[in-house]
Amino acid sequence: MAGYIGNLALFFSLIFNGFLIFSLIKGIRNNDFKNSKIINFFNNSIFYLLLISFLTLIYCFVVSDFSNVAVYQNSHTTKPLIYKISGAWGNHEGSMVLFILILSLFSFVFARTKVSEKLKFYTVFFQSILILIFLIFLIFTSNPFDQMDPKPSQGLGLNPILQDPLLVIHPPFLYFGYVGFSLVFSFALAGLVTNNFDKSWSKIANFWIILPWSLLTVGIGLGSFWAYYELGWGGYWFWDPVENASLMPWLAATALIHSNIVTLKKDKLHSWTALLSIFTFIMSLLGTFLVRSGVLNSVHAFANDPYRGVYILSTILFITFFSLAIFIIKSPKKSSYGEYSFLQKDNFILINNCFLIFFLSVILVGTVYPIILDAISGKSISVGPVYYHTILAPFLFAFLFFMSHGPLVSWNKEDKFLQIKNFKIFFPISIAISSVIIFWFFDYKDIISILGLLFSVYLIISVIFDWISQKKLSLNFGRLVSHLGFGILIFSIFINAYLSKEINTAMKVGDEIKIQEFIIKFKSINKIKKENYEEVFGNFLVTNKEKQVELTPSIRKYDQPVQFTSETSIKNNFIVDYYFAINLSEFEKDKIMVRFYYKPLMFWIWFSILLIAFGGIYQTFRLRNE
Amino acid sequence: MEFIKRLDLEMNSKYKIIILGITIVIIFILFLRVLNSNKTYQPNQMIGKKIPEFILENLLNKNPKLDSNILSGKDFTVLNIWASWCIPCRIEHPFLMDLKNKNQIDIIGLNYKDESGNAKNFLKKYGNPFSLIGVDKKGEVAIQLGAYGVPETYVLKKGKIIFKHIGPLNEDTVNKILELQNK
Amino acid sequence: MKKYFFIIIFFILSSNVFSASEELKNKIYKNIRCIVCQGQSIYESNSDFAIDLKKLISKKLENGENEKQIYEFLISRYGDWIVYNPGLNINSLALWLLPLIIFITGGFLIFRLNSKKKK
Repeated sequence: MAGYIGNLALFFSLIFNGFLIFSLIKGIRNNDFKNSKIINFFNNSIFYLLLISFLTLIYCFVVSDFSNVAVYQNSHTTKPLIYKISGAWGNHEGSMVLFILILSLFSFVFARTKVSEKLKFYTVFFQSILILIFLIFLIFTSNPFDQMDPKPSQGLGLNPILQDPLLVIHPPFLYFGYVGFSLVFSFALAGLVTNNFDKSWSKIANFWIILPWSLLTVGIGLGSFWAYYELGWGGYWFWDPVENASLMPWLAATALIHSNIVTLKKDKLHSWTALLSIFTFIMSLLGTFLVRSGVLNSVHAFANDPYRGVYILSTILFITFFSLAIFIIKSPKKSSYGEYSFLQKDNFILINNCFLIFFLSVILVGTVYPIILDAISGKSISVGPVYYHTILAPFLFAFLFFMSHGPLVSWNKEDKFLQIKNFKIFFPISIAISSVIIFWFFDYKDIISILGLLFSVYLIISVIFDWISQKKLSLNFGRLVSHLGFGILIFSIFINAYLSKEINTAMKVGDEIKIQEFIIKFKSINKIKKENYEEVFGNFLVTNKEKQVELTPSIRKYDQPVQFTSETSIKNNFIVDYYFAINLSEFEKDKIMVRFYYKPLMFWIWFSILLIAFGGIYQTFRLRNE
Repeated sequence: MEFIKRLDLEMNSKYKIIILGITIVIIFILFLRVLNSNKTYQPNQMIGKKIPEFILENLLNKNPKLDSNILSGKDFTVLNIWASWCIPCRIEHPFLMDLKNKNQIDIIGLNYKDESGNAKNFLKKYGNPFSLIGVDKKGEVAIQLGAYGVPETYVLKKGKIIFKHIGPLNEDTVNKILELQNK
Repeated sequence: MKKYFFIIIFFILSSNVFSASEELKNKIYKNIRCIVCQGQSIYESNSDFAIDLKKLISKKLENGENEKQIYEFLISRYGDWIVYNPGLNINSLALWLLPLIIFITGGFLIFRLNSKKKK
């Protein structure tokens, strides 16, 4: 019953969307851009209908309505309620409903904001075309309300690894990010088509860029954090194609934020900002395609279905072609240059924009190259972390340098004097701090990590300096917090990469081993039995000089289906994480495989990502209240 | 419709759009090929190479042992990696029986990570198409051969690998094997 | 006393050797793809195939083979795909060159933009 309502709601939203587009086209033909009652009615109704559809899908999951194929494949009666709910968006079809719902939500909210009539009209127009395309794709090829007969008594979806609180909120944050960029995409197309791409455009767009960007930042951070504590190998970023697929729109959006600021303040770089607005959403779509189409080999990839892949591919290429065609035809011709010199803020922003796009293209090449090579020659190669580290790390320090000085130089004058004065302060302090760190902790000289360290310290110092010299803090608070977060992030990543230690060995109860500076004692084991699993805990004591840490990793045996998972034990403070995991041994029958990781500054990695997002969220609220 | 009225485009824009269109079509065709391609990884590194050296115990008798030199001496032989616990192996088994009985092809078996008792029972139940079976208890020889699962089938000419198939045999592969024999 | 001295030295040295080869082993494991898994290295996987490869690599290291030889062995049997680090070969040429080309092109464009603006 609920399924029928949901399906009906989808159909009606499609029909209403058709009517909406029809009305909008009529308005365009008649040069009448008033936000008429009819248009408002349709736009609002579509959102409410999609909301109903999404909620009914959740309902089907909650009541375990296994006549619904999606529920059958992804849920189970014994799942805790929260995971039944999140199961609704944890599968391909359900997540597409969320996708379209967010498209509609952004349109719904945007239509209520103060924007010039014509711009609003066209934005809603382009956004509704996006909704139309994806609705057709959803209803006819990936309908979440497909029924099956006879109705099974139990579902298939009981993978314990996927039952995790972080995985409940990770997709929504990602989606609000990815899909949220659709609005600035439509807004840009509207601006191009109406020849209104200028300062006032940028002022409005600011909010619609920074909001999704902040949410995407959180989404990526959540995914990384989950991988860290769940997968059990001490890593948090694997350059997995699906991870890369989320990082690419993030990089494009970061470039867009800054390019938009230049357009806002100096009325320059219109073409570039417009192009980035379109490009960011295309990167989101590319990510969508890669993850769902079956071209990728990854732990993250959704269930593979080549037919679906063809539909998504066509959809995305269609949207790409038309949006870029509009850009080519209508790209803003005006660009005022006026006075120009190298040491100006807009130039620094432009340079770092180029670095960001360069980083993005390296990740794009690394992700897509194996696919293309396979398609052309049938040969397969893998692109692993070494590729990305080798190419990206050397450029990081230059990026950090421009990021440090950009905020401090002025928009208009050539601040050569200010430049050198700042440089004279920051550089010695950074060298002093970095040298202490390197001398104390690093036992080999790696020029790239030294530079990375040095310039992340440099960035942090420059932000502190900037912060102190603020007359009205609230003006730049968002930027300061985000930039500070970024500096701490890079700093922590480098320190963590070079000072992490790992110990892999086999132990039996009672063993005590000494490796490097650690003594690990396997004290005892204890077992517990829960509803759907048995758990064996290992009690370990790790001694590091004077410090003693107790850790209790475990192995769980689920019964339905029989599956073993390894649960990590992590004890952390602000300085370092002590991370322990165990596995059954194949080599020796009376021992278990033991993995211990010593990971410095992990807290700061997570905290700095939150800082970056927080700066963005603060800024969005400030903009909203203006 | 302002932007459609402006269809008197500059030459520049027209060219750019054409190039854009061509690029998109190329990308489409490329990814279409990827989507339609075979998903199992088929490394063909070993094709053309001589079979690596190894000696394995015989499953059924004490002698002769399965020596790679024996394989080098044969003109044309099929090497099949199988296990009693492998379900696709059961499905492809009739094809192997046919190759031996109808086409008199010499088939050597490599019993992969199996219990010898179970393996013998398997053959008793479904028939034995193999002239000789080596026991690869640890799977080490399979790795030497570049195999990563069961079943996998190799075609050897005088000890040189000329064909490799991953997964259970089917009509097409059997025909291919017969073709290769006649060459 | 001398006996104890040598035992201690031996112990210290061997534990260093142990940790150095452990590091190398882990480094290799992280660089080899588990080809029957979805996007995991053999380091992260407990599948049969991953474990077999780990045993094999461990044995080879004990026999004195170096990292390069082990990769060559595996690539000769399983192709380039099994190694995560794309070495420089005919297949990966474009992979390594593309970023370089992009960087140079980007730099060139900025340079032209800058000099154009200066007029």
